[in-house]
Amino acid sequence: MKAEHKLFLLLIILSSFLFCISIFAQKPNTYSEKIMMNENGSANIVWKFTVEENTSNELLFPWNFSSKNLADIKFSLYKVGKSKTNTDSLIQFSAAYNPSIVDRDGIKFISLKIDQAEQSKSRLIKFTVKDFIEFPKDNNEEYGNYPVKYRYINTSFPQIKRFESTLVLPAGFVIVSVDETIPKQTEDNPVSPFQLGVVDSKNSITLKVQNMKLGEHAFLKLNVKREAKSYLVLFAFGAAGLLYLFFFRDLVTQKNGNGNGISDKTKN
Amino acid sequence: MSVNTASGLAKQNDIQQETNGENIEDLLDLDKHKLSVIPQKKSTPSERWMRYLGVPIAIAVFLYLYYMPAPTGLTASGQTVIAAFCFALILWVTESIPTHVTSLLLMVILVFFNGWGMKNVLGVLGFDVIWLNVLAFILSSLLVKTNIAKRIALNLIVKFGNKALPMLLAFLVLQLALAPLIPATAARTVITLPIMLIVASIYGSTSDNPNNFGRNLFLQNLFGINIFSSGFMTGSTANIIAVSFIFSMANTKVYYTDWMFANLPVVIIAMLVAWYIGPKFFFKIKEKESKPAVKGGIEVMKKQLDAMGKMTFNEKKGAAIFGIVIFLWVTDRFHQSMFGFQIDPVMAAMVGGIITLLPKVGLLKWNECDIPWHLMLFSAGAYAGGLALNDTGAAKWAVQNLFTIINLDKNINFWIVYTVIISVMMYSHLVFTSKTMRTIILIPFTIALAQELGINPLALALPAAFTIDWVIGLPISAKPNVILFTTGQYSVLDNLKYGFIMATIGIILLVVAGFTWFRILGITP
Repeated sequence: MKAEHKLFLLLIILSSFLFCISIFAQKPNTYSEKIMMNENGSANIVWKFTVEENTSNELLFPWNFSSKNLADIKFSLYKVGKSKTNTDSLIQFSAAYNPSIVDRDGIKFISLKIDQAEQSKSRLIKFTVKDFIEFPKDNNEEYGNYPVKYRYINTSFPQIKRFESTLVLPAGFVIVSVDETIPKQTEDNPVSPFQLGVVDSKNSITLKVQNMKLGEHAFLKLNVKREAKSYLVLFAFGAAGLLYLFFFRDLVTQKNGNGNGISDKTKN
Repeated sequence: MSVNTASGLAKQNDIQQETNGENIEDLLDLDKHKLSVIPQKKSTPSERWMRYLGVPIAIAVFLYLYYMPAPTGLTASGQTVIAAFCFALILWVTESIPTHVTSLLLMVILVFFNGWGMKNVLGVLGFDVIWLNVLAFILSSLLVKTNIAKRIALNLIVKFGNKALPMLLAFLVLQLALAPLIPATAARTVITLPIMLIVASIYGSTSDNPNNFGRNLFLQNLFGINIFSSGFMTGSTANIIAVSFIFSMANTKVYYTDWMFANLPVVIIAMLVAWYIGPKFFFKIKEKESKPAVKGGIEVMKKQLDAMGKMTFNEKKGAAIFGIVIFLWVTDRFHQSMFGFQIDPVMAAMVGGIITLLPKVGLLKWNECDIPWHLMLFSAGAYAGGLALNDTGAAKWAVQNLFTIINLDKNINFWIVYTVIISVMMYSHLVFTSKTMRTIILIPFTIALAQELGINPLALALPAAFTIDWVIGLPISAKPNVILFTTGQYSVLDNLKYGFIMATIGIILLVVAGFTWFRILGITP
């Protein structure tokens, strides 16, 4: 092996080692995300996490959104603290601490600068992804359903003890069906991994995973649709009911009503 | 295909001359009461009112449930399925339109209103329960055509006298004997179905003119087939799943004998209650119906049996074909070691069906098979509705909401918790069509609840598991129910009212057993 090749190999090993060190240095305890979808396809996202211990001044979290406009995403970082009125409130960090998306060996992470003194605290990151999903207005296929898929892969070495992801639908949308989830509900694991709920008067689904290791993922496949229902059905069914009462009245008006909607006179 | 000998026919002619009134040959000729022909039934004034109001009530209920704001925790498809199922249930009970047309309507509504996918809905017609239904009627036709069913039925009547009650009891004893031998409930149904048809016919109950003897006979057999399964741990797969949950989650091993000693006495008492209250309170058997509808009574029956002589070649052949199927059903746990592959009860019935229909080897031509296709459509639609309730999470949502409403907490008395759990488990079969799904959802929940309330999980979970096989309230609640309903001997309403009361009696018996018998056995505190 040539000397330059050896040097190149050494550099790769060293950089990988440093990368692993920086990631292993953190131990996320809980990680929850709330993805509030908007009808224009964007999503307002809130990440909340607590880190048990951290020996470096950088935190790295897996980035799982396939947005085309990564550079446009603006992050804001908050911590939970006491405000002037002495109640728990969100305190925004200065822009200098704002997280950013970084690329490590082809894998994207959110990088977060953190003071050693501020460790073991809950943090909140808020940002907006513009092209999270598409809700075309004229959706005439599949009974007006929109398929929604969301996958979170833990690309970081540390295990996430409690992972929770909540997808909040735009106002006026409902969940039609939950077609697939990872983890699955099985005979060995009978507790349902997801729960349907309401967040700010909007329908939502929350997926929970315990002890998510490197490479493991959480996955949701849903069908959602606009809540509005056609009133034509209401009138059609109502009319059918009334017509039935009229045409089948021989069932109760005649002694031996046959109930086939044809009176004895008509039959003759 | 004629299977009677010439001498036998001559003797039967003599018997016909002796009897006046109902001709025994007419009664036993099931060709005259074909299940595949939709009978015209006369309705009473109250039944006609039910039929008249059924459609508008069903529509009103559907529209209310469909248009109301979706409750939290329920998907839009779940809401649609609940609305559609209630709509169909009202129509099935009131019989405003034929039950099979209601099923088709239900399938259409499920698809149109985005309740369940078209592929899922149409796929139900290929389900094992539908296949078993078709094959059951092929095998049943075999036993009827070869006169085996007639011979067994006449033997039963001659041995157990000519009274309705002993005859009904004889069937329950038969079902109790079969339960530990053949775990598959559908297989037990297929074995006894032809005998039920012939006996019902002898007592004057046919699909076109069912009477209360027929209702009692078929519904009590439905109860017997299902409820006796809960007397044995191996009575159904769901029982075994429940036991494994109790072991894995509560660390308590339940053995075969533990289960049997605890629950078999309860189910035997339950079936004796069913046997007694059916003919006395629900479907009172009139004097005329309590004896075979043959003038000349049991003597004619004895002569008829004598006239049949020894078993003919075709009877033996038919018995051999049916024997192969029963052998495959009984030996299911040894298939892998015997053949190197497993034979499902449906496949075993299919083997029997193939042999029955094979030219020269078999005994029937296709046209001789009496298969009620309209009722297959009823089964498919009804099953689709039930499966959609499971698949969309609507059934689970309904049960969980019930528990939320009841709001059990730590200060509550054990016996209240016990009664609530047993009741929810028992009645939940009205919304779940799958025993396995019901077990997977409710048994772990029961164990977790017991642990949360500081109760020994076994005290709640095992009695709750004893209710798994009580699937008796609706014709779609289990495979035997689907098969027996297709005989046209009883209505959805008959099944619902008798089944619901029996389920309630089951709860009372399990609560009483909890206070007494289970306490002696150390199950309850």
